[in-house]
Amino acid sequence: MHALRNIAFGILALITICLGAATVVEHCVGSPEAFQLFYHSPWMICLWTLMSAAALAYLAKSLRKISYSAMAIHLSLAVILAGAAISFFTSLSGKIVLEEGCEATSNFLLSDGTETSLPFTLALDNYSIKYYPGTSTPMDYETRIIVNSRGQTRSFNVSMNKVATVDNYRFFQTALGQGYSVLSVQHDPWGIGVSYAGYCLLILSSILFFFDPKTRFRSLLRSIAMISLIIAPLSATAAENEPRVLQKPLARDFGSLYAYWGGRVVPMQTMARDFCIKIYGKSSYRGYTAEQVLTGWIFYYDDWKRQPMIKLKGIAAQRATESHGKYASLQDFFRNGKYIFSDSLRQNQADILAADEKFGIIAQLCTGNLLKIIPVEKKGGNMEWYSWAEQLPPETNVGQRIDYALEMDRMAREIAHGNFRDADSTIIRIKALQTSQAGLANLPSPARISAERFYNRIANPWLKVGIVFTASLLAFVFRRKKAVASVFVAVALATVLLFLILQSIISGHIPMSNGSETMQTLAFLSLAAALTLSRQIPMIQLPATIVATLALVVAALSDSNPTLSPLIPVLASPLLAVHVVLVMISYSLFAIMMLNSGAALLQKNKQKQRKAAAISTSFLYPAIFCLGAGIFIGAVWANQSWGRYWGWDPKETWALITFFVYAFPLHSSSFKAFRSAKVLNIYYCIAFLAVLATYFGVNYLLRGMHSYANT
Amino acid sequence: MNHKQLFPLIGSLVLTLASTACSDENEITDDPQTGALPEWYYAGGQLGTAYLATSNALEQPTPAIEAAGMIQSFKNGEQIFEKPFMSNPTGTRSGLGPAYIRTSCIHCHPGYSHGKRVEAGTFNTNEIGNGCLLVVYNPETDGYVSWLAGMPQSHAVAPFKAPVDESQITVKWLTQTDDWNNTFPDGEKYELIYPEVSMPPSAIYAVRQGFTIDHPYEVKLESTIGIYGTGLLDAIDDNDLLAQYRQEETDGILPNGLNPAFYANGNWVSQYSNSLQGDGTKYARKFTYALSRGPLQDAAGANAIWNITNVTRSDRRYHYLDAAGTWAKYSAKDPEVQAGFDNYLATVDPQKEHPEWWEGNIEQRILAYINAKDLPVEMTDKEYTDLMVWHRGLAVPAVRDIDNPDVAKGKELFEEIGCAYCHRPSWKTGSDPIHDPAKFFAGNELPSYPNQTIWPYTDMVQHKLHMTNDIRTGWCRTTPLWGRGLHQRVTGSEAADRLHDCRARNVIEAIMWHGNAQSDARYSVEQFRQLSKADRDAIVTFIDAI
Repeated sequence: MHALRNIAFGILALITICLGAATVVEHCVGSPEAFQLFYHSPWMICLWTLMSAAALAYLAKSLRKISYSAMAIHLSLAVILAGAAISFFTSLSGKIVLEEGCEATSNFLLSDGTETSLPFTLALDNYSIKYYPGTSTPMDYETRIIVNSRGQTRSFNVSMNKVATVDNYRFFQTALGQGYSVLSVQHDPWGIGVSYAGYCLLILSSILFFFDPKTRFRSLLRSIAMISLIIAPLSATAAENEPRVLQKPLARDFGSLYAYWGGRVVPMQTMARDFCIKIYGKSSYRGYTAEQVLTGWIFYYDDWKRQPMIKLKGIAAQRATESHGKYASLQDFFRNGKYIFSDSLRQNQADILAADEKFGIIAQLCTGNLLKIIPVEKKGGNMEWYSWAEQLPPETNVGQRIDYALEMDRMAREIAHGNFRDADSTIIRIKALQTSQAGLANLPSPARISAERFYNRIANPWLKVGIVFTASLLAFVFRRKKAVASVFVAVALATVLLFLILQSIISGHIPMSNGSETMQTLAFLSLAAALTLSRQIPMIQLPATIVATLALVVAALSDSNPTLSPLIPVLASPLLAVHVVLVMISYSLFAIMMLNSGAALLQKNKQKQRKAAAISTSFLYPAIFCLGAGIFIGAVWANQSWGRYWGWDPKETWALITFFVYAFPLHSSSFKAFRSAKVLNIYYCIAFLAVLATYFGVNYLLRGMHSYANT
Repeated sequence: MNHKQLFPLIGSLVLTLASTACSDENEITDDPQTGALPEWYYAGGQLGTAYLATSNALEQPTPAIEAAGMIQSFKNGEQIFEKPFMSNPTGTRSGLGPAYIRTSCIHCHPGYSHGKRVEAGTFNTNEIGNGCLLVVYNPETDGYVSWLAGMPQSHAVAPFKAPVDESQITVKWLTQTDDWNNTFPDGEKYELIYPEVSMPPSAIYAVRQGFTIDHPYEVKLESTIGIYGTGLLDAIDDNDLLAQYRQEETDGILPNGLNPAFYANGNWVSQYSNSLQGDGTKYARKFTYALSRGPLQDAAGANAIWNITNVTRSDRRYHYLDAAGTWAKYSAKDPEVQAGFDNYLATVDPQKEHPEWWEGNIEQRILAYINAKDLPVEMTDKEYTDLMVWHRGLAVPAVRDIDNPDVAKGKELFEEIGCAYCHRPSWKTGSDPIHDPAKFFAGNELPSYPNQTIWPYTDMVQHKLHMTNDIRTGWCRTTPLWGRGLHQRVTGSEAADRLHDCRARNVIEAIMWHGNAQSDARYSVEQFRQLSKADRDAIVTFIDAI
């Protein structure tokens, strides 16, 4: 019994260490070596097999000791590994090059360099690159293929997020050039199915586990107390030549123009703010307001193209732009007159795609395409908004576009000549054009505009987090003086409520339409519960304020990347948001565990240490559940986007390592050591290193597809 | 912590929040310092410059248009330029065909700029932005072939068939290695590519119908150039232009001299005149690469609105066809054309006002229609006038990036190494009386640009660069550089698309294509090569800024 246990857990520990080593080898030596020495090596496969066999045997012997849900969880892990084994031994992967005008082919090149053939033939019908409107920044690559299978001819579209499946062969767009298209080919008829079945089983059994009254998790939930979480978004801006900007009040007046943005009519200020956050990560740049930044790009383009304000989220993009640090200027995107990403774009690398998206947004602003300020009444009375850079629809009055372009031209002339007051009058004239052409009924009410402008001033999501966090902390400090504590909770509640009300007024719907709003509503509800139910449930205040703060952190993270453009397909999937949120929640919980246990270790009081260990362990369950689900959803997303659900990318590998590391203390019934509060507290502190390695180490030290820091 | 200590904390939090919300200066002040801009900032002079640098930087009306109260006319003209023509015989923008080159002007002038490069592959004129015309000529005489229109038509309205099947035309891009192995002395490299066009005889409709081509022919690409600022160039006085030729002749420094077909020994050899619509009055040649045109009112745009679309107007009630009448001849004989002709004619001449198109031998009837000189008028005089108001009213964008020291440095170097000899920076326009060799315009209906200092960077004279696969005849009018730096922003093109067939993808390539041993620009290119990288880049920055 003990032997089986030691074999199973011993090998798991060994595997965990090897995986960590493999990521280092990959970074220092190279991917092929890492795969040859570790991930795909026979001895690694032996380790996985032995570990699974030993674990299953051990489980079979412990049948009576563990709950059904825990049993199901372990079985589902075995199914996932079985699926991986099937994929590994039976799947084929490679690439196929299709050339324009060439005959249909069935040959494709396997990843090991040998050639094989498909049971059908393929030919390139046509291919296209879609661009951001008015620019030459690619938005998507699409290939149309003609498949001839058993005498039947069908055609399929393959694009960056669209996989074509033909007789269990799946085709992904990987490269596109003049006259040719390269598709990667995957044939894995069983492995994916088995793995996915395992993943589903894992999630189902985990959910069951949380409802299972017999688990240790349930018994832990009864005692709870808490910690803190620190957020310090820091950054430095390199000194460069000061770009010229419009004076604040002039820029602000420009920000009062109406613009169609994000599906509704907004004051231009909102768009300016989103633009600034999207490009730079903050709502102001070098002390200039978002409106000054936006108008700076429009009227002083040549100054702004030299400003290092485009935030790059990964090493690949930073290297490509030769930027020294996290920020590049628009000029850095060109070398010898050539766009630096025009070739590397096709490799679906997330940080490059994100950089390219930012470039596309700036290009759309500077061509004018982003500024949809011209209201056109369509048949049936609907208003549609256009920019003066677009072809206006036939319903437009002759020259309607010219009226706006002329005013913009005058504004540019007055600005160039320093006649800023005259420039301001052109803004008034444009606004008058907008009002008369759209009609007041089609424009947001002045109250809504004021609400929105006020909201834009205060809508730093981290400010909100800060207030709620501080209030929560003070409520905890004064937990014994219930009235005082309640005042602080009320302050937090009022802050969240103020933002929710403003958002509702502005958007005209209840604030549940996206992840950020839902999270803020969740924060509101838990704070409301903390305030109203504190008499009935004395312990509610602490967990509720923690949940609220965490929810606001998640909301702030998603707000820091506003959707300004049709997202690059690979980044556009909703699965990505879910994946990021789940993983972020799990990391936050791990962080809380580390802080809680760490604080307890500094205390001599055994009772307090025990309590802290219990609290941490009660957090461990949801944390590891979120991590598991996050990994699973990430795998589904990767399968859609990159054609494989698991690719030993450093971040994937480290997430798995983290998963294993935190899995050990769940097995306290097998290991007596994990019943000691001190051991647990120490373990939770050390285990957090795995989270740090996953989150920071991979972003900054190891490279990979996931290298987008601060996501 | 005592809770009394907390109130200052909360207070300061609230204050921070309030101050972020409410701190703002409210006064807008003027800055007279900014107003002092050098003369060359106003590329089109005070009457011809626009200031917006977004994607419609080249689409703005000149201040002269506004001053003359012609803005509505300008707006109407823009519609004619931008929107597609239809083959139906009545209504706005009707009358396309029977054979035509493009359905709209914007096809070839994306963002009113130079055309965009044609990628390797099949030549496709349905693509917006392909501003290239096919130039089909006899290399022995350098003259256009007579069996295709000078601007070959690759579309037709049924039952007629396109004179050229463009799907058979292919464009290849070949690489060029120059005298310096495409390398600057400091090691920096550049690439040169040029297009090669092939068109098999089977692409010609007449050949497929039995016609034989009895001489060699070659096909080249010629891209449109920007339309903006042409009104200002038109305002240059003919005598000032003659003075430029005389000066260049006296200087005698350019190896290829002046084109003897147009100028020799202090005087014009050939000038532009129109005896068909006009009275044959002679004017200096100003427009097109080949200098085939004189005053703007009877130049490329006035011609293109008729011959690209084959839309007739009151002074041109005939079709644009090949010189030898080949297409008409083989169309008339084509049984399929004959079969569909009556249905087609019923839309063109529903009242049967032209008996010669309706009666007699079908072949004769078709010939009578195609070659008719009294076709129904498809574009009204007002529409044509609006178009020409718009054409002459397009402003030149002001210089960008003017405060950048590199731009100033580039400007000095540009003059120092001799680029400015042919790319003459500025001209002073004359009194700009409106000349129309076709006698359609009286003059007062169009905007005028008298006595303006303009900065087009062209001497308006032809020179030779001896590029591989050069332009037909080898003589090419110096292209104005103004506004070209905005090409990518206004067209969305991936490359700068410089030179007559868009072969140069950036300014460096364009400059180095000037460097052939026999080129008029050889000296300047040699000087350019000797500059430091920073200095070369400054010239590029300057060229993109103007």
